[in-house]
Amino acid sequence: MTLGVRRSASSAVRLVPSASRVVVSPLVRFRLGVADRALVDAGAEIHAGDPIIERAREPFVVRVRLPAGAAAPTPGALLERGSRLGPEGRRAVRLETRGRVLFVSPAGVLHLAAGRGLEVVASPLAGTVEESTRSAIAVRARGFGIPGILASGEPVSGRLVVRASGPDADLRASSIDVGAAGSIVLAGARIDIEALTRARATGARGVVTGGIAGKDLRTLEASEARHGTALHPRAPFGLVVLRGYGRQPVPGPVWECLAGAVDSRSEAGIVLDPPMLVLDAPPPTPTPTRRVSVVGGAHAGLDAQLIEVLGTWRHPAGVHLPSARVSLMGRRDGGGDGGGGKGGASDREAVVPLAELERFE
Amino acid sequence: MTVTTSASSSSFFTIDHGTASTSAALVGHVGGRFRLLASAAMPSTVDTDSLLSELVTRVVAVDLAVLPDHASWPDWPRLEAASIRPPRVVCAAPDEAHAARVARILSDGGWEVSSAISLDRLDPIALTEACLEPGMRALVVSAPTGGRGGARARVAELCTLLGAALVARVAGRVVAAGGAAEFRGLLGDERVVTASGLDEAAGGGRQSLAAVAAALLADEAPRSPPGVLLPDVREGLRGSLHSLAAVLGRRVELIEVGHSAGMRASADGLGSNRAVVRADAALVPRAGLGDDRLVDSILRWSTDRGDLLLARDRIRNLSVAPWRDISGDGARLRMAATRAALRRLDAAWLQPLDGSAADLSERRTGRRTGRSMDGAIPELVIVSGGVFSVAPPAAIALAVLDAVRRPGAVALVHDHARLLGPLGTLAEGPERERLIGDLLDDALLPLATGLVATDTRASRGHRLLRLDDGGATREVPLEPGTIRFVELPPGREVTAELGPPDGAGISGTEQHVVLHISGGLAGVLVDTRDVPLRLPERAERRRDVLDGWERLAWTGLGR
Repeated sequence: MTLGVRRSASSAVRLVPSASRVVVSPLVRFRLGVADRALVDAGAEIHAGDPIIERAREPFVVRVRLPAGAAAPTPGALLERGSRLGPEGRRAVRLETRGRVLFVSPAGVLHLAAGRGLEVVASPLAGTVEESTRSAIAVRARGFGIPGILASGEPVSGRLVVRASGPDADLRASSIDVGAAGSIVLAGARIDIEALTRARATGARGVVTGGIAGKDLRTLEASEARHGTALHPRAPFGLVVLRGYGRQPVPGPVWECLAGAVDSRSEAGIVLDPPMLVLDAPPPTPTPTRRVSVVGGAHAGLDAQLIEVLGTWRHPAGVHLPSARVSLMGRRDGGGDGGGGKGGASDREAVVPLAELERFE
Repeated sequence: MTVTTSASSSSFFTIDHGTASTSAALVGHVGGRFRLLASAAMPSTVDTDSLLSELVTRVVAVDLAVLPDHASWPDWPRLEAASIRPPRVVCAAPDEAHAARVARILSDGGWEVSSAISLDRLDPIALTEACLEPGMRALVVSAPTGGRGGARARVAELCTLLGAALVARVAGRVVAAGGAAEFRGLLGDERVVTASGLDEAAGGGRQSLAAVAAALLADEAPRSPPGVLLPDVREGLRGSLHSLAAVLGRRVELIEVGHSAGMRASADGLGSNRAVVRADAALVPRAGLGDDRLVDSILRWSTDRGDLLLARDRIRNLSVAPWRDISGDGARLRMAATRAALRRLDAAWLQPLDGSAADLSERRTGRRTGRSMDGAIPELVIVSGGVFSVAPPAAIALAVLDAVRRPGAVALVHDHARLLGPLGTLAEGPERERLIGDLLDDALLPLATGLVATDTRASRGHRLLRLDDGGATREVPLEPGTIRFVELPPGREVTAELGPPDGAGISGTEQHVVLHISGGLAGVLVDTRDVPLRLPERAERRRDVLDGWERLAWTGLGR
């Protein structure tokens, strides 16, 4: 019952929660550990693949007693192996390892953060370095980013390839082949640990997925942690999750953005802070005004056209929510198993809580 | 702001900007007093002006005469307040016990303690990385005052170490409390704020650590589009609570659970107020995303019999996408998370102030301590916060009584339009009290009166609850370990009498208790379950018990 409330089309659609489909020229951060070293300075122009950080996989503390008369090094300063501490002479001390100064205790003991297993981190994107400090490098990326809710692993780059049959399909391990080597794989609503493992084993650089089971995410992270301490670490691998835990269909407008990037063979990069897939391409065109995505409830994963905002409506379990009448658009192609699409449903109307709709700007 | 009441603009909006939802209300001057005309809560990503326009549209559709100047709504005053997402803080002290005390003060004050560092277990790399973490907003260093010799040297060492780590950090505040203030120069003098020690009274130009932390927290508030710092909604809630207690002349308590934090506060109108704001009392705390134990502690309140791993993911999604799973069994799962949050909040509230176990026991059983208001049984409990905006009244009442249990009677009301936060940001005084007085009946939705009776056995069978409205008398037998909703509409007042089965006199321990209570949307919730609540440890049996209770509170589940 609408109580005769008249709303304009534009005011009605603005009551639908909005989400950023893309972020133009996002600012991304790459964190440095205490024993890491930034390889770029503020103002530098970088490209995908350029080295930006020298990382120590295993930081440890080195303690050196400063000789009498030695000036205390500045906290944060990087001291090279062989650096002399104290005045020339018998009492001078030379460092046996490179390290970053943590602090000098009141008792005159220098504490350094040194590292084993040095490796170079390459930039996953092109852009301009806005800040380079002891704790992070901030880069203004070229192109646009598709925000996610979490990311794991390492920043990586590659061409985006699609292996899922659709935005609400699960990606099976059998769908991943060596053809994805060097690429970032676009999964659908969910990827499991078996498919992730296969993707990594076949040389894929990373995965973008709508959702992932929490258990599989922790298994992946544990595996990455183990290999991070190995004598010969593997190639970096990155994961960005766009929508949440479990099975989460990718909304139509976002999928179209990603599909466009696949078609145009754009370079893509996975970054962790913020969790995001960055594409080196012009931003996509805006979506039609009344087009919305259903992101929860029985019709989750479907796109729809907003017909009208109804006001408060009673839903299952006696929950009263502001709601809208929408015209559901048919299942998208593919509809995998595991509760996904049943394929071929014709357009139909439904009353959906406004909170379970999203419109992408 | 001051709310004007001129003829041309006698209406105004209140807006509560939560971290996951925005709640707005339209208040107008009708019949000589302020009235709540419309309200709505929507995900925070909905444009605020669209929400306000919607409120005006609704009211005008019903009665244009109420808002004759509705076209000017964009210019109407807005009373706004915002939730502060608990900022991260690192605390440091010479020893673990002191660090734990500092962490407790900060945690109760709305901060999220990301690291508690002490020299007892020092890891220089972990310490440095904690201080350099981009999300860290403050560092608090505290030490006992009056330390000498070795103790003083330890403080100096700690401050040297922290100061070195802070050299590379340009953002964030530093607080040096107690004995650490002497070494503020080692911490970067120009940005250090000092506070009194934990065991000394504030004075000599220094405020207590809790007061300093509260002031820094206010600086973390979101800003309105022009860049103006918005008032903290939880400070507003405290302000309204204080005014309510004064207006009503009774003790009031408030419980708020939101997406990023939870709060419990009390006021007695005589100046005795208390509040705790906890990041770990959020619907699903941030730590829960990676902590199965925390998620499983939430699922202990759920009747979901599905796959455990799927259930854990649904809980996590309440944190990353709080509006997505909102109706049907998603609403029940959300209420399970709310009950778990209420329990965490209750645990923090009940932690002894002086460390005595007896103090804790007295609070749990509800016997008045006579020493402080913190042990007193509340007469009015207000629930607020975004998580309660989508649940049926009976379910809210049951959830609150599940977690916050005291023998006796309590009136449960819901700040359904989330008015109290913004209203409480007005300066304390007659204007605020007048507004709250005018809006009281509209703002506070009566949920139920909860009657928690633990002593239900009588020598001649079960005790009886008699409800007398001056005409008819209803008798409700009190079976131990049960809940029962008794119909009593909002506004109806009755005399509730708790006595022996045959009503004959008073004997021995069979107390005869008379209370004057009122109804609510869920009537009277008669609760004879244990205090504290005991649930079966076995998961299946636990779910059966919870399901049996929930079926009484959720419509459509069957009885």
